[in-house]
Amino acid sequence: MSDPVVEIINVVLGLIGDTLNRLFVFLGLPDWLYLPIFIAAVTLTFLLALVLDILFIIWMERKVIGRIHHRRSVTETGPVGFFQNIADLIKLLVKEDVYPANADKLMHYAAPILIASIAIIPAALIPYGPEIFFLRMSTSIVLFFAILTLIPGIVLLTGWAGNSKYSTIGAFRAGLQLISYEIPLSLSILGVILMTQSLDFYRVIEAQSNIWFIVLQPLGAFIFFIVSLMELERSPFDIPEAEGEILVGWRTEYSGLKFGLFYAAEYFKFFIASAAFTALFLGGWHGPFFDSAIYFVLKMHIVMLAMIWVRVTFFRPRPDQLIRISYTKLIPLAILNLLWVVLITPFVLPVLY
Amino acid sequence: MIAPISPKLRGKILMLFSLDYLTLGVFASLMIGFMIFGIIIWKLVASGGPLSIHRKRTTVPEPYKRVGYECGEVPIGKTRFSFDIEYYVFPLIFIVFDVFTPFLFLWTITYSPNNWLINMFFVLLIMFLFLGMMAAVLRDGKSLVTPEYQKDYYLEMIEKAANGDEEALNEFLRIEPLKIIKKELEVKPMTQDMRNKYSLSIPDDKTHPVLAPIRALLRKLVGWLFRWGLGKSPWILYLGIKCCALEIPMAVGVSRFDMERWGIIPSGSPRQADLMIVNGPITFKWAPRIKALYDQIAEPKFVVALGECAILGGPFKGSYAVIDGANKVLPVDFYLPGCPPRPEMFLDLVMKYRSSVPSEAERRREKIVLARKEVLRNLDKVLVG
Amino acid sequence: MGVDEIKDLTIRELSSTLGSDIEKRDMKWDKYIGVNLLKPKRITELVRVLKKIGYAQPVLITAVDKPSDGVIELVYKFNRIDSKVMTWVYVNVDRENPRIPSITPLWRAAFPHEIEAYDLMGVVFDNIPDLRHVFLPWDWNQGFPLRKDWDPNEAKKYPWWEKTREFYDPFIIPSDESDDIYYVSIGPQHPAVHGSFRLILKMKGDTILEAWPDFGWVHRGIEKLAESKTFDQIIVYTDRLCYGSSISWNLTYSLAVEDLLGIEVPERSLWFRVILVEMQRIVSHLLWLSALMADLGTYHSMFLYPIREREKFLDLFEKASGARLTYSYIKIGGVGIFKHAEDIPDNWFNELKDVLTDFKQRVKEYLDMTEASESFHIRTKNVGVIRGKAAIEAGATGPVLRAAGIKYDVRKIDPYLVYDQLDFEIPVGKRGDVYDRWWVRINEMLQSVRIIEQAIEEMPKQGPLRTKVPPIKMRGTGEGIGRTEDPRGEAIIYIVGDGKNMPYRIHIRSPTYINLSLLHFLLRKAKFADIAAIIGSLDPCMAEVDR
Repeated sequence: MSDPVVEIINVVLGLIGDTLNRLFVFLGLPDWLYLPIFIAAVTLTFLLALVLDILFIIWMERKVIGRIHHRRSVTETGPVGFFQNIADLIKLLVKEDVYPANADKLMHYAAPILIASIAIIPAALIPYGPEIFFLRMSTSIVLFFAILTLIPGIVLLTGWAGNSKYSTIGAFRAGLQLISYEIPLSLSILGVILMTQSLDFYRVIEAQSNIWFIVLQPLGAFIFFIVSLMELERSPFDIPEAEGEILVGWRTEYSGLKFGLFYAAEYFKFFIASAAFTALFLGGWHGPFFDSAIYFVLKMHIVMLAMIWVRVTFFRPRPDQLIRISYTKLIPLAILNLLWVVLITPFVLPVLY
Repeated sequence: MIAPISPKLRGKILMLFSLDYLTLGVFASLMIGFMIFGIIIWKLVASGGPLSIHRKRTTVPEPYKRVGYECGEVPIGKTRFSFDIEYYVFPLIFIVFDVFTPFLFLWTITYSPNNWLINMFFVLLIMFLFLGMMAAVLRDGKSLVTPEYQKDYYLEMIEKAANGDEEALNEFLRIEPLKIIKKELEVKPMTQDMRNKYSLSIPDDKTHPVLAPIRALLRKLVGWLFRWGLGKSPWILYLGIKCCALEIPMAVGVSRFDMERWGIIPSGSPRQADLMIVNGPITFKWAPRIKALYDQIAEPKFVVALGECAILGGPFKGSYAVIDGANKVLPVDFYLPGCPPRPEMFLDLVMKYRSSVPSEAERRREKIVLARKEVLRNLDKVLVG
Repeated sequence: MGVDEIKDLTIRELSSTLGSDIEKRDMKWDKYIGVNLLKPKRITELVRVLKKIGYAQPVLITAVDKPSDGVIELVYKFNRIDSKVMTWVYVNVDRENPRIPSITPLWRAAFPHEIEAYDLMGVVFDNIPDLRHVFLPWDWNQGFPLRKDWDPNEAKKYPWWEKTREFYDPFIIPSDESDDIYYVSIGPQHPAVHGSFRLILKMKGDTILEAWPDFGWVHRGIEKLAESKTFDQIIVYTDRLCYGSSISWNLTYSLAVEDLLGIEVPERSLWFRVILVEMQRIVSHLLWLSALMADLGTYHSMFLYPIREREKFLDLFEKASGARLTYSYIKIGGVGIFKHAEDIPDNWFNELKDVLTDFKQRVKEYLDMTEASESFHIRTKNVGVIRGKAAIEAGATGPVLRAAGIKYDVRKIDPYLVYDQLDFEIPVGKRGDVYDRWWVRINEMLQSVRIIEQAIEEMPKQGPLRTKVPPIKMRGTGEGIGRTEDPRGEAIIYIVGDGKNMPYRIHIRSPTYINLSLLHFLLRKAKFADIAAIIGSLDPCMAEVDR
């Protein structure tokens, strides 16, 4: 059986290519412009699909949390409350732009745009199916996490830019948390890179065609999961925006669509973190009968459900306790994982690919 | 990506860019452009923007609107400060590690399972490096990672105080006086300079020749969409003054009554809230602060006066410290009687909000906005320090 | 030591130290000692003697304005941990220039009471650390409201309208020069403060150096309002004193009025009052549990589940009294019933038994769920510690005092209603941190269930629930005191009557006010993230603080 998603995408690409061809001939545009415009058109389609998926994810999260609370969450707007997010977005479009008098105006406008874009750009680096990807770089893993590392700095500047006490305290707490996850993150993915000898997502997924890495390196997967939660600022690590303490944290002074972009950025990060986890540890697009992007998307959503489940369960540690957990517990575990991988790789190599 | 272009063209492009970075570049610039486009649209269409769908520009320059948020209070002291040296050890460790990272990545790629003994030694080297760093941090008893967060001498003092040691008791139970400096206030008449400084002379864009017809057109075309969105997602401000706060918003948010069905989320910061629920009596101390909180909420905003105390003073009417009714301090849009009202009554109000925001409350709100602007324009004296 | 021994010891010691400056006063209660102090300046020596004999805390300092005698009478009440004896010291200070030495340097627990007496009555205390207005705004200079000759029109001159329009704030709290010390206001609008109070914090990095609580946001002047309402009408105000435990305040007030007017309540209503009050204790502790857990981070699970249990109890209350939050059910003379309805609804006790059986299982579930989570332990152990003598000295009361290791409960020490016929235990903690306070309250809930079950068995099945008191009898002279164990601590209402059907002076001691003054000490050297846990463990209810 061949992959149905590839069929659909081939059709869509064919359509786009056809239309663009005719458009180019009609308007007489130069040849070298063709490729960038083609990529732009495909990006727009991807963006559409992404936005629909994000709306679904936000709705799913609210409903699932509601059910865990033994209640039905959003039900009134749309058939099962499905249009609630669209209503929220439209409402955010109508809200006024207020910010403190001495706030840094440039940073105020730049911060939401930067964070939202940085959160979505790594989505181009992950292959979603054996023939569905934007690009195949030989160093895509490193680039992926390098782009994500830009976020702590911008978060600090965002909080600093809103000229208020709560913003600044929130910014420092966020910076603290976001810095404490960097080392365990790099160490936990080193195991995967070691086993497959490559820095490319595509090769890593190909290597899992017989057995998934979560079976071979459970500790690494566990650490990566926890570190993703820290990076996404989700409970139990929602210290920068702890409702009982600092209210909204570094996003306090942002209203209207700026806040909407932060909200969207949170879910973009959710998307790419689950995608990275699926690609690195859960075997990507491999599935029972055929390899398909459907399995990738399915696994991604299961990882999201797991993260939502963790959100409703645990207490929130203090910032200094969080650093303690990260430096005294996660780093030694990650090194242990590395040791384990070094030990078993010679025996496992024949099974891969 | 299977791009159906000719090989000659492909070769030309590949000469100029690597295909990978071209794709990434187009992707990134498109995303950034999309966000910028969104922000531009928002600035045009939002309340207070040139193309907002309301008939009159609804930005009211109230006193506390541009003050940094600090739970309604005026911020004390400076808002940008440096953070304690306590935590900087960890970012320093992170920087050291960051420099070491490229080496780690290169090692993992060039790793070969044949000489695993040497690789084992390498891993042990990394381990020693990290454990050495940890030991350096952990060894000092006063660092962050000790299990007892309080420094040891403080816990000892608590122990001694518990046993009744005089000196320890006096040290532990020390009360510091709060130094308050009271500035001398004068009541000055409002001058044109002050009006400009506080932006109190704002024009009314009802009759702008170009923008007004565009706004009317937009109002016809997409006004229904914006009103739909506004009514369907009321976000309330976390405010709890007195008893009614236990019913609304607390008891109405739990599983039994579940206000999230209508999309109500409590929000901590006033910049992101729409609906402010005044659930208690307003006393002298609260009055300026609740007005400050109201000012800080972004337009369009609505106020619900909940319970008897907020409507007319309730059982405490006539007391020397209570202002009889929230509508003497804030412009109130909805009233909900009861002492305290049952949660179902609040849900009834929400259902009315959803459907009445399009028509009735909107008109009422415009009147209220005009009234607020009028008050500010006619302010002829101001307290200045 | 027996009651008489303590009384003799006290009188002996006081006479030997102060000689002729004190005289014994006749009290209508056998268990309380009354002493008149003739020289106000010697109050500090008297207090030193009392401390030496073993008195625990100054529970109430009331200022009663007597313009006809030209004095303000200060009534100091001191209690003991081991017995029901209280010593009441009456001091008269001159009305035109009321000054008296403060006892705060000797006994920190007196600080909140003295501040309040200054704020509302104008008595100036010498040597007090921090004298400022607490309930009234900081720039209030319109007189002292509780005085009998204060003109209410003065209050209208306070410029609150201008302040809502001001572009500057007249108060500056100067910040220290160092660059990393900053001041934050955890303000009136914040979920961590459970209501509206404000904490001014002086912080360095993530650590708190000093903390000042700032009350008065919901000060409604209940004590002054009550002076112009009859005894019946004040019941409605006592509900709204603490909305989390409103029946307890109804009870305290009814006990005070029944003490003043000499009213006997029927036996059946005593038992029913016990059932209601213990149910209210469970409801209040469930609310506290949810709030604490929400602050610690598990809004999603441990906030919603205790509230679900609470709703079941509120349904029972609603069937009996008609309201969900502010019941006004316990009235003077018994438990209030509708005029034409006979009694408690049928089947109410069976439903109560069902709810209790279910509830016992749930509490054990919450206990297990929370104990098993390690992050709960690291958030709450050794956080906000106060224990032993420091707790008594600082004025802790209620579960805070019991978690500090002191076995003190008004229901056992000075039993009211029928508590001396019931069998229950008092849970006591060891370390005095947030964990112990949590543990004490959870066990109190289980003990309350035990009490209710016994009371349902032993309650007489027939009988009136209320004595009818004709309006002629609703007048009294003298003093009345109602002293109960509120879910938050020791609650006292002290009424002075002068023969009219309205009280001359009513003074309410709210346990939360005293407990929150502990924040000066508990928050030092704590981290910012601990504020929510510490305030939550003290169980604040702001309406009773500000009255």
